[in-house]
Amino acid sequence: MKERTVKRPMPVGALAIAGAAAGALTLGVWAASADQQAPISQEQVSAGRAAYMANCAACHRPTLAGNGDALPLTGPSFMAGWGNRPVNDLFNKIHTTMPFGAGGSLDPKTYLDITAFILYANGGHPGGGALTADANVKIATFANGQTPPDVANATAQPAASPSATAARSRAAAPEGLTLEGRIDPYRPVTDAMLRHPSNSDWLMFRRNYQGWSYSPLAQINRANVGKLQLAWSWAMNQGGTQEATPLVHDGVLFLYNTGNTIQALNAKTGELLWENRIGPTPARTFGAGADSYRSMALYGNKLFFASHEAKLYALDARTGKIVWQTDVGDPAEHFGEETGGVIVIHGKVILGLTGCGVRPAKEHCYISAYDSETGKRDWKFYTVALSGQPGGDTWGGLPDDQRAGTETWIAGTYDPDLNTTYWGTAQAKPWRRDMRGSGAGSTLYANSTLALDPDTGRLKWYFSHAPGETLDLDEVFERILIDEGPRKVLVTIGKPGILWKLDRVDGKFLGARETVLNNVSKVDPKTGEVTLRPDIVNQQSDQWLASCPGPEGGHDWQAMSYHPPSGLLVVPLSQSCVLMLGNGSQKFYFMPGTDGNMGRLSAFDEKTLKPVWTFQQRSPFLTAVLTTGGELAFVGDFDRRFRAVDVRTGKTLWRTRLGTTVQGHPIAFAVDGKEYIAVTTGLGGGSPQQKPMNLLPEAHRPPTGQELNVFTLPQTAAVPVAKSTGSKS
Amino acid sequence: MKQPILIAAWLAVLASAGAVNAASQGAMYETRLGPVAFDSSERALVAGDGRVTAVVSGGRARLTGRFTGLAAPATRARLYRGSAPGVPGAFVADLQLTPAASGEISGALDLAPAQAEGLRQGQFYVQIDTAKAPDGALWGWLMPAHPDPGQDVPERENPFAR
Repeated sequence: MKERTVKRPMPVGALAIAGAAAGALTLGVWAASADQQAPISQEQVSAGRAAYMANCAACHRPTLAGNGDALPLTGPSFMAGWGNRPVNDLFNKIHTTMPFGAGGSLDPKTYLDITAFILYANGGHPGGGALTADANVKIATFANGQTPPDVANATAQPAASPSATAARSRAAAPEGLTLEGRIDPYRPVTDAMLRHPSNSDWLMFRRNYQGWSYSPLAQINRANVGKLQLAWSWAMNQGGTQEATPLVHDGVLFLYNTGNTIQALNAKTGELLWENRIGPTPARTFGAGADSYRSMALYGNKLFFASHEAKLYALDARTGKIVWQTDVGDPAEHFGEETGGVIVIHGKVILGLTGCGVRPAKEHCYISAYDSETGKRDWKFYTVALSGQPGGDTWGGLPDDQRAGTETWIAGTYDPDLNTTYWGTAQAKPWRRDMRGSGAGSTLYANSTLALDPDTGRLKWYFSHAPGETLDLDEVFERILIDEGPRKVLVTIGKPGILWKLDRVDGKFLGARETVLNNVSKVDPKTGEVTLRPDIVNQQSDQWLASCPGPEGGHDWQAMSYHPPSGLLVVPLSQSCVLMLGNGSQKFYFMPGTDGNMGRLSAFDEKTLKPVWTFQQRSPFLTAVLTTGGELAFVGDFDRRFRAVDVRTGKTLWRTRLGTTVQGHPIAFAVDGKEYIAVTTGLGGGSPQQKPMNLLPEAHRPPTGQELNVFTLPQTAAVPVAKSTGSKS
Repeated sequence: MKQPILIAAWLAVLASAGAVNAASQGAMYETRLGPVAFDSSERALVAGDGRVTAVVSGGRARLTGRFTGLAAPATRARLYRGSAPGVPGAFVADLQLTPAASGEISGALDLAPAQAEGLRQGQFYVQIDTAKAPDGALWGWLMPAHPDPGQDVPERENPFAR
């Protein structure tokens, strides 16, 4: 049968964009007449501004500039997606889908007002009558994407949603040091401890400097894990995004809650030892990317964390009091957010920055280091190569204020012998390079592995994993360090699901393995060079591009684990696809060949990167993997299940069902000879939550339930430890 | 680092793809039909489920399948071909189907050698349109038949790990 070449079939709702825009769209130029009045009233615009600030600004920003999954609602990006569509399409989209996770929860008048405000924010002049839900006029007839100054300069902090549960709980919650602690004795955490942590402790993000997410504890093992039971649980702050990593030192568990509430608990009993509610509390109960925070760190007598607002704090780990605080971003310019967490090296607290996607960019993202005693900034390394700098010629000639993104939102790892810290970077912004204007350039140092000197911030080498990346498939996640005899390697995996291996001495490419269906890019197994699908190379901003995997990944922030006794990497993977438009709008679908299964857990031989075992399930995994000396791998999923599998075979040996999505970074620790496994449940986040919310309607979860759950065996015994493999831990 | 975007290299890799590898004769392909790409405002329009199997023998592909739970009666079923699994593409052939919310789907077509190779590469997909979703309600890419071990049952092979 001969194929007929016809217009590519369009998904539901997309016809108006592709058909009407063909040949008519010139990026950034919308010729709406300045005299053309919009079908909105001034009263609606005023009311809509207030409603927007209350319900939308937390994600889309007061300036409507957008932030990650919360797309821009003004400017060229917005007009590219909506200019050729009628007003009632925009109203219907907002009405049915927003606020995120609570579409339709506001009254119709509020939705009309918000729609009117958005149209005003794109140059629509009030005066053409009040907006109605059936307004069928094309947006570009009266709007041109020009953001009025009062919107562009908006700085008001978003108010709480009056209907949100968090608003009611916020009114009742105390603030500040609500319980001052007296942890005594307290052993200061030393450099030696960080290099060789006690098997009972969990002192940093993925337990060791090498980022293994592995505990040598073996009391809980394949033979007895079936008896695992809940030891205690602790309700956490609701709202925001739960992606926390508990820390444990000498029987004290330190816990980050959304809203910058830090707690110390007795790790054995769950008794609260101290609490500091630093605030502010999240602006909404449920939202993409809001207020997430992934890792704290312990050093000396202090506990370090950075707030979502990019303020670095040092708390006295014994009492919970603030010792010092310092700005990492620039609060005066509303620049910078922090979600990835910190690492402490040689008494320096090192962290990245996010929220650098707004253009024109007054500042750019950087990794920076601070004296752990004083909070004084020691050095800064910008993750954007500017004009005239090495790598500055990779941005397609864009002026510096148009170079945005390259965030670091996962804490780095560290090799003490090489004295090198390793970080991953996110993509340049906007995601789509047709909107970004950077051409095929690699936009250094986006989507790269960076090797830095932790004492000076000097760049030792970099490796660009995805030059010209354009579909929100960043390579920002964990960099795991492994010694293969004398050879020192680094493994990482990004959203495309390509498992990379580099020589961590010089950044040389050593190998790669695809782990899920990838129709976006192909990696040359010999050179590591990446080629993109031709239509992606030739992209147009009014074109829907297919991406498998989509922005959920592949792989996302849920860290993989290296299990030294078996030499396996156990990797949580997701399987979903999107069609993406130039402004970042997305439509979701299941990945081909997966039978509707969004979750995949796979094990690979670290040396050869060959697959060893894999299994699929309907629901994606939303925790990091924790492997243990007991030959177990623990992981939790979107549909509230937390399980232990045999690390060598993948067979599930134990599982339980918790209050809501199991989300966060599980850890293992021991107190008085007894081993415990701790994991958080929670909500919030971007694509890892958004995609299954849409694709798995059968997965019902309560809108609350952020909690810490701690499991142990019924009987107490001496804590066996896995035999040393000779690998550094 | 070099920053190559090599279209020729991409095509060469596609031509020698290892992840989708099936004999040209007597080969079976299958797909589970899931929602055509949608956003949260369109979910109700793309409801439904289904499965389609294609058996290739003597250069001819015979498709059979079932669908259920559509939000509106099915109006059309077609076979399309994209450039890769998961990439929408061009119309290839009409299929027969029950014009209802649940029913059967079938069809047959002779494959040119390039089409047979495209089928092996996972480029072909079946799409069902309905009265409420004229641009597509369900779709699914035909991939080599693979025994389903069941939910969370580990297996050795991952067809996409290459």
